[in-house]
Amino acid sequence: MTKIEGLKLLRTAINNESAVFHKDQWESIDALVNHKKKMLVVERTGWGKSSVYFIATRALRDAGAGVTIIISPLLALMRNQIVSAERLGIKAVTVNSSNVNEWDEISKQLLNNEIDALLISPERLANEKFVDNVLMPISESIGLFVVDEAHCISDWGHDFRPDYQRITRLLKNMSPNVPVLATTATANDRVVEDIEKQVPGIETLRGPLIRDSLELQNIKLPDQASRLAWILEHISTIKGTGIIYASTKRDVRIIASWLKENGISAAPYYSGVKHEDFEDSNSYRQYLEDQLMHNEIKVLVATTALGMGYDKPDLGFVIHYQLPGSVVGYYQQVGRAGRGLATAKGILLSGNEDARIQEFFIDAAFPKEEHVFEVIHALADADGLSIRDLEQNVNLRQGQLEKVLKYLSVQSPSPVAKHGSKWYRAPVHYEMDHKKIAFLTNQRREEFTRMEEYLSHNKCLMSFLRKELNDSNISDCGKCANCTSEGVLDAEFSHENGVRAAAFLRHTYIPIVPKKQFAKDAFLTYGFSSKLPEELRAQEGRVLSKWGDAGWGKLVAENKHNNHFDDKLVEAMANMIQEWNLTPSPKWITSVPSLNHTTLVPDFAKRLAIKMNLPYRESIVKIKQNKPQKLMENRFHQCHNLDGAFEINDIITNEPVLLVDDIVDSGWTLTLLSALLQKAGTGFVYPVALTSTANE
Amino acid sequence: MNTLTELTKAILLLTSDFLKDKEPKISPLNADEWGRFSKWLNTNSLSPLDLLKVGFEEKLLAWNDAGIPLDRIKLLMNRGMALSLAFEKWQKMGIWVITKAPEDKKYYPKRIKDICRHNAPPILYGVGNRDILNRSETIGFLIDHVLNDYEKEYLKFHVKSIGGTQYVLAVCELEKKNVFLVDEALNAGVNIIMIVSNDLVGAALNKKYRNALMQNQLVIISPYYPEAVLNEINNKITNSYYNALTSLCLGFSKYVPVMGNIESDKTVNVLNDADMMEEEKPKQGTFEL
Repeated sequence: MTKIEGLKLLRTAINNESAVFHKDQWESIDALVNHKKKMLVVERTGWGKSSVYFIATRALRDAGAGVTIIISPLLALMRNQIVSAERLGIKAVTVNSSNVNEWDEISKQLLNNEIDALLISPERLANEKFVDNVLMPISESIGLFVVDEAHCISDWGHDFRPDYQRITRLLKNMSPNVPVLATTATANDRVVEDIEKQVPGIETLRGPLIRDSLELQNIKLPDQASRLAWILEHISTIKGTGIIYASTKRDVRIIASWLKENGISAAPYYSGVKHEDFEDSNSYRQYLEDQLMHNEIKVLVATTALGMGYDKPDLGFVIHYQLPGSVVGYYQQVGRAGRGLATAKGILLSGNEDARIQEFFIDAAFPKEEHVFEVIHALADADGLSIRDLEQNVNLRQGQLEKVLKYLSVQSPSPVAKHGSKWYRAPVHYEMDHKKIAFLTNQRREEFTRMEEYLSHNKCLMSFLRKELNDSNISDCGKCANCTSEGVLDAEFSHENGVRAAAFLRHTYIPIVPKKQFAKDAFLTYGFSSKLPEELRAQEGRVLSKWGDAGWGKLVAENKHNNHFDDKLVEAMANMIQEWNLTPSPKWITSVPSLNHTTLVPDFAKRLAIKMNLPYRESIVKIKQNKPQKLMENRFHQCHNLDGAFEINDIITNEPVLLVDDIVDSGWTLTLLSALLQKAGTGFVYPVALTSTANE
Repeated sequence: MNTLTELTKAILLLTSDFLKDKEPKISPLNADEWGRFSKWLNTNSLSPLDLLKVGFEEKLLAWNDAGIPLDRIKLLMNRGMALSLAFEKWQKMGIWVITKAPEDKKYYPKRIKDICRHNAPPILYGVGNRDILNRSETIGFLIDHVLNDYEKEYLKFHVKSIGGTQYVLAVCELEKKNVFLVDEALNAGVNIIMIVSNDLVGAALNKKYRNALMQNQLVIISPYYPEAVLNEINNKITNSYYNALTSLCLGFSKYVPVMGNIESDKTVNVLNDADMMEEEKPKQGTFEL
């Protein structure tokens, strides 16, 4: 393809007859199409990476090449790109978990050469079923392989992801005659060098990464109530729509409901977010992305699930509720704002909990060695195990088990292999790579330290970011809070809003979603089969706080330690239940007994009963000392540990009952006791607890 | 150990299957076709590596072989993504590949290369300790009948006696009658080369072989791609590689006991115990090697 032909395609792609190539755009296309090279393109969002790979796709397809595979981590990106591809007559489709029923049809079209580009997530590429059924059959004629957000390939990247390790291995095994385009908007020199080392033969093109329109400001507000108050007071004054990033799903939900309660159109966005009007999480997430895209919502409150690739030219602001883990990661998020605007705001709030949250993420990044070897040993003793078999053989949570398997399967060589639906011990020696884990862990700590330095930086904030990204020609921006005397936004908020926010935090209840199934063969003594009949299921329950949180969680944690729950908690729980408006309303109260702390929970439940003017009955008897439930890590073991541990006595009534416990984690104790109570003849069971230790 | 050189990638593209069930079929070059093509490349001072470069077609203008048209070579070379996905999957099961090319000389069994010459497989897929593939002496057993317990015990004794010698036991998985020898050899700590014609993946993940593979006692090789299904022609060819691999063969016949060196056709009695013999004694050389 000649440059003139390329230019013609560019003008069609972006619907602009006078458009010219951005610097390096044609060079990238030429290298891919005419020389089948492997290219790393480091350019800021909006430079036109998708034009490069769609023009290259058009040219390669016209020359008879096979389909282009595009690996990209974000759903929103995929749908936007499909529209721009259509202008070039490119039929692009995406395969994800929300369209499983279309896979067969897409697969057929791919085999018939009717599709030009296939967009998939890195996670999809790790899905055996997808690889075997959709990707493998067309893999003998791939025209171009595109990896978006390629900084994830690098160990030095701020966003280390196991699924990208698999992509690295694919790139290493690929023959040099497959054109590859790796793109990123956030890679410093170190990351570029690492990618060049890991992908032999890759050539790099690099442009400036910085965004001129951003006005940056950092504000330290130690407690969450202050930050909620600040956001509420200032968000309406910022022009346009934007994103608030928070580190945990729970915080995302709290901020969104606080804003909604105060009349601001906001919605929570995270992986797995659901809405009753939508079939699944993916379709709801797409709806939310569209809402923001079309400015039909003021703000999306999101975890990093909304990050990479979200390309909205008129995004007016990005606010961080907590410090992110690294400066480059921060820039990637804040850099989403103001791409097509003259000015946009990037506000970084920070609080007391930031370091604790980051330390949790750093610590949880790799599976524990004992978990890893528990899985390896279980597989070594067997001739293939399904996930369900594994759950029975190892005492690990489903999440932990998946984490171990994912971690192990991207090791090289991997000590485990999936064949069909079963996992096997592969015949290779394995030791955990402590050196690499220590290196990555240490690096994450260093990255967070740099983030803290950015927070306290008293000179130009934009220059700090540019330096971290190894951008050239750095000078003061003249726009950030440190470059201007008056700051970007006022750091103050009213006392009244502060008090209201604190009260709001004390009403952030957590639902206990009733379970419908027990683990198979776990309740042999009670004789429960795996399906829990509807009449024995609990009603939806509620928890007052998250362990140690800014609402009641801190007090619960302290009181638990002192073996007595304060009357304030009795009152808070009574309020929670009254606000709940249960129908039919509970007529009596019982509690979960313990052989270790015999009075703690019953004493609390008795005071709650007095406060609510309801009778208290000690209807549940603990008849067996089992192991602490908190040591049980997965469904099977959590259920099995409870088998035969409780009995219901005859002081029950057939009326609805509140079942009180102090801490809920997996929720199996409450599920079992609700079933036993109803089997013995009580009415509906509403489980309630003071705090939740379940991880999010 | 488990990585691909660019040359291996080029040879895999030309000669390996990557898909279990595929439509439309692009047939990789078989051993014979590869023999012809690689010889031509060599004569014309070309290497498979040249085929990885843009415009390689121009260098093949003089290539003229009705069975291997240029278009077929182009389609084969185009399978870079399939190669990558397939090898990544095999890698996870501990499977490696070695080629007949000089860079893998250390591992590729010299006996197969020398005896089968241009029919020797261009690629061997394997799992386990490839260092034992080129031990100078490999011993195999040829058994022509269902053994009784007494005979089995006797043969087990022979297998045990291999332990501590320079011999490696060679076993062709197709010879089901021999399988009990593998169990015995595994227990006796004898080094084993096992050759299979299909489902190397299944063998690699089989619990029975896992320890021996990890303790470097066993290597399993296949001339066919690791997920290949059972196929008569492949079996026959695999058997011929097995015969080539075996430097010394112990024949265990219902008719006549022989111990033979395949190349020189020397025979040695291993069963001279008359009461182990049954029925009539046909003439020597019953076994077609």
